[in-house]
Amino acid sequence: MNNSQKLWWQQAKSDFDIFELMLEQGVADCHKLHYLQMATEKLAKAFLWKLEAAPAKSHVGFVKFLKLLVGSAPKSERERLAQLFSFPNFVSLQSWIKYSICPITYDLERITPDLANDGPNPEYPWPHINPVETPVNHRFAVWKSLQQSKGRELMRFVGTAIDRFPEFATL
Amino acid sequence: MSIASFDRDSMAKWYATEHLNTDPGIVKIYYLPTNSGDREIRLLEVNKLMAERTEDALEPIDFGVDRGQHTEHHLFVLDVTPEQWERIESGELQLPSGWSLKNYVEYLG
Repeated sequence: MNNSQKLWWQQAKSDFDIFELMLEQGVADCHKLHYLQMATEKLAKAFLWKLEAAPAKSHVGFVKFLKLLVGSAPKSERERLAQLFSFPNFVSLQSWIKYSICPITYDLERITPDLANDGPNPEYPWPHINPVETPVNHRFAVWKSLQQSKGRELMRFVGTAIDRFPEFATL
Repeated sequence: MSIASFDRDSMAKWYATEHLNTDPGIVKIYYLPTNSGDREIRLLEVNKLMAERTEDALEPIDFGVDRGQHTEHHLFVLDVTPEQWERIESGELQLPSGWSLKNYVEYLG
């Protein structure tokens, strides 16, 4: 792992720790979503830094990370990667990412203020010109999905990916 | 409602019903009250759509709910596959530390 990867990974870890604390404390959904989104974005950037070039300065990245993780892993490392995430084989990991969690990860990525199209986002009241709603009072559809079993699986996956990042950082 | 009137068992039943009605993969839910705190609800959810996993360590997710209100509590959800549930029942697979199947309440989809 190069130094840039290490720095982004450390920040992702810290964001995810805060997310877990907030989850346990039952704070407003917007704050939990905000930290989970940030942790996943930074995890993605930590991985993308393996190319030794700065990733695009944007909030998107987690979906790309998932695609790259299973798309770019060398054949010789695929089964080890699956085992890291407790999948019986690489094909299971690949199809779980593609069919089970991709819709939620896409929605999670799109809640950032610059991608939310002046609508529900976890940070600022909206619409910008004439606010009628604020994050702390809003019921986020993506949070509802995250509380269901696929969402819980995704949360566990993110936790594992952050904990075990050094083991696949350079794949 | 006073602080003392928080009804853990009714709340557990409400969660179980809600989860069974909204999550298509869940086939049954076990509410595990033994050894849990007064404001702690432990649900073990058997899910036929969950990805098969090899690792044995089972990890519940802790959702804090209604912080600062008289209904404040923690909801712990443990997701398992039907195969893992069979192994738990036979004693081959361990529940998380402190969890017990004693006096469980079963809810079916």
